[in-house]
Amino acid sequence: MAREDPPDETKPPSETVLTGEALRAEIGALEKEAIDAVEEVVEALPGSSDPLALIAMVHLHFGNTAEAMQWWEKCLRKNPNRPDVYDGMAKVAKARGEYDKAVELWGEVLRINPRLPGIRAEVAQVLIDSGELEKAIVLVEEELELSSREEAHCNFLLGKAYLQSREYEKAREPYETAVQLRPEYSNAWYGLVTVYSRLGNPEAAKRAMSKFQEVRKVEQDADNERKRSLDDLASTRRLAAEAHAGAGATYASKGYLHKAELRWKRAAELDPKDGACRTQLAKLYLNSQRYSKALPVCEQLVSLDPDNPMLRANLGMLYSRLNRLDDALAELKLAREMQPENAEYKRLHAKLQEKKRRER
Amino acid sequence: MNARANSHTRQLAITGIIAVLVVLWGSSAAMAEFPIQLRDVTKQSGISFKHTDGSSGEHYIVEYVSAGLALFDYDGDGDEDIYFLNGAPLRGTKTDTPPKNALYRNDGDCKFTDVTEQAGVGDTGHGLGVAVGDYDNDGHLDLYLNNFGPNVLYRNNADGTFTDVTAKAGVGNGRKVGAGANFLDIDADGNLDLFVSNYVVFSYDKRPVHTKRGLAMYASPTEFKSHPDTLYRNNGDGTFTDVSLESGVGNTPGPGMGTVCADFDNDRDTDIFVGNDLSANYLFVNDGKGNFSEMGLLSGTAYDINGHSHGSMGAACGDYDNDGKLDLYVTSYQREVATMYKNSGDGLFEDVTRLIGAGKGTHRHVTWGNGLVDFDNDGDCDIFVACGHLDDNVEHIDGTTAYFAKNLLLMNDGKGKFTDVSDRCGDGMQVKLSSRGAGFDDLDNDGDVDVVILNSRREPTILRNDSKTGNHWLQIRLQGTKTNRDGVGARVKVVAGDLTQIDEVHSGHGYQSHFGMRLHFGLGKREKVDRVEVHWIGGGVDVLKNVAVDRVITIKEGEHAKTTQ
Repeated sequence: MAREDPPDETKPPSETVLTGEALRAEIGALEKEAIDAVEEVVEALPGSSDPLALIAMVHLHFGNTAEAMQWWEKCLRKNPNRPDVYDGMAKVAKARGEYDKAVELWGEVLRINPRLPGIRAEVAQVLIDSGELEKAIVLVEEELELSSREEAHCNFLLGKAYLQSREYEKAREPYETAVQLRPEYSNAWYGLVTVYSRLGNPEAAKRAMSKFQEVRKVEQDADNERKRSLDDLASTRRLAAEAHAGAGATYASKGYLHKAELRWKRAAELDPKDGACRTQLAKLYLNSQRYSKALPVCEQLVSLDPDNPMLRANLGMLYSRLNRLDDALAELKLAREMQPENAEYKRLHAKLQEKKRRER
Repeated sequence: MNARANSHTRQLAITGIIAVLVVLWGSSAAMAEFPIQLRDVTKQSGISFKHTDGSSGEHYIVEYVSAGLALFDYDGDGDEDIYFLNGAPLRGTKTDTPPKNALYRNDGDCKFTDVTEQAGVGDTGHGLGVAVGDYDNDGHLDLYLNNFGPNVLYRNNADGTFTDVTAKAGVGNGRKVGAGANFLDIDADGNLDLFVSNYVVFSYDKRPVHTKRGLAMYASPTEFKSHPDTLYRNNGDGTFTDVSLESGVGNTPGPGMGTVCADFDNDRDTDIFVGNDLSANYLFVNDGKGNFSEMGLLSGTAYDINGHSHGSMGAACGDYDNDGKLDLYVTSYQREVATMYKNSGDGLFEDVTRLIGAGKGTHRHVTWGNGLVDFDNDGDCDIFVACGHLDDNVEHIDGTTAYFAKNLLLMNDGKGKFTDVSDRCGDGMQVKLSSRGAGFDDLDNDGDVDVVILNSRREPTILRNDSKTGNHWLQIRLQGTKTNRDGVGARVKVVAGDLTQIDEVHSGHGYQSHFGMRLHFGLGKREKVDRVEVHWIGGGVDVLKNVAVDRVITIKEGEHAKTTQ
């Protein structure tokens, strides 16, 4: 029987508006704590490359590109077959404008996993930006055969490559496909404006232009809203929470469940909206039968995603385990209403109703 | 150690020294072999100007956009003088002596003397953009400053001094945040009108404030409203009338930055291009009478090939592929590439940046001052790009870029493709500062184009072109008689054997700067120019034949009228 711990403390942090030095100090402390946490994983798991990849990603998210690159290099010395590491390094190289290096690094990704979706599209994008259109077209076509995950984007890339090689008729079709797949794809609409103009179809160009302007305005409004609502401290907390959650996942994957729990709890403290770390915590508590520990976490998950019937059902079953039958019935009822066709919710609800009848 | 051993040691030492010398000589020879060499001569130039952006840590958006510069011959002595804009102390900044703009007289051989006080052009406003033009057609170049706050028009008194005539002329433009400015003759009446680009609507008290990693950052221009641009028509009597609305340029607000005015549709009038910051660029197309239609989106110059609006900064134009049409080159923000819009000649432009390599090296940096300049006199335009981030703390939040950056030089291969040769062009290209405006002209009158760069919060950089190519050249000054005095807007065509080039006289160019009223044509090994044509704005055509090379010529309107040839 697992022991019951005191009530959980994974509540949202109190909101205090910090500015100037106080803000810098708070953010610095959060970053340091996050980096310390992942460095502890590196020390705890010296035989694994996972912590090295994790710490690189944490540095990258905090903008420490040089440190990220150093950790990735260390990671590759331990395990030279990590596509995620080459992919991260390639993205940094691209951001630095080192296109040849980016292509080389993505080449390593494909060496390790030739069928990894998305990589050919990344390389094609860089090749288009370098003016190597024929090679780019071949890669995009391969990508399209490989996966439909980025079909709209790949069609956009094809359109762009043909547009640049002034094959306007060939460019038209993939651009049209891109906007069919993703009607809000402003870049593809702009490609169509250009292509229709070049093909001497002013009416079609005008229609595409109107659509471009419409979807671009929506994008711009969203972007402006995002900029207006930028919150440095909240964003740092989120990044720090990701670092702690990553540390937790790495510990858990190697069986260090207590250490994992501590990291996930810290992640939940830092990011009141992080469902992933709460899901991990809830699983951990339920699997170890620490139901009263699980309860506040499951309640938070429901409050984060109140329309999720599965979370409602899980909470209901947890209430049942804690002998809160009325609460349990209420949650299961909601889950059933949200997803009436789900037989499992129906069965569980009926079971709880039966239990309630027997109690009377 | 015996004598033989000593001898052997000496021999080894001598061999070593020779080896070192060979290596040094070899590298120096290799350096010298590269056709473009720009030397940093700032220290010996006599220029002590230091730019300030007025900042006190508040990160007002009007800080980082400062400033442009002007290269022009203020005293009419045949060489180009330098005018640097400066920032003013913004709210919260304390200073004993307010910084001011500075005029440096060219004394020849890239030596300059500060004549700001004598000339009376030490404006203390927050300088952003500048244009030069002879608005009163008296043969002396006047100076317009586009500030944050009231703008200034300095009339050249023809005696080395200037008078502030802003109020009389009526071109103060309110208390806006300025950007590029240009003199141009919108209606071909022989008087230079004035285009004034405006940036964002800024207020100290109502402005977005952001931090990243706890560090203060500049807000985005998209978080501010924008003013429309302003157009003043020259009344011909020393005054101007605001015709923004009726001309069509005042109907479209946008955060203007670099501007350039040229005949983009080859219809013999002057159009206006405005690079907008994170917003669609504008191309105001002139009907020849001073009525403008905004054709950015239709022409393909509003966005890049992806339909993205860039953080457009500098606007340069030139005929990079010598096809007789002026192309546009626009610098931009980090993770965008400076963009070459090739003029297709049918009212359309094509983003050919990636095809021709015109954006090489720019992706990592914020890019500002720019010019399409023939540095090696081989008859095609190379590209110069001034670089430097706007956030001085950017390395703390983004390790892929840097506040201080080397500038870029992309060499044209003669077939319209560019190679990044920055690291091979001498010590002048190794300077790492945060550059803004840049100007290009032959400062030492030796037949090649030199560079002046304004660096944010620092001393400027003067790059002397020491390229030893043996190529020939021709420089042309225009003198209007019926049309505007300096031929602003006039198109010049130079034919030398198999090489035909065009250019125009522009007032206001690049990143909120002014340069290049004396047109420069590299000619390669061609030893004579067969034909020079000048198409004056609102005037006729002058044609000169069999022009000798390696000299500066002045073409006076009407003296070589086409009908007499």
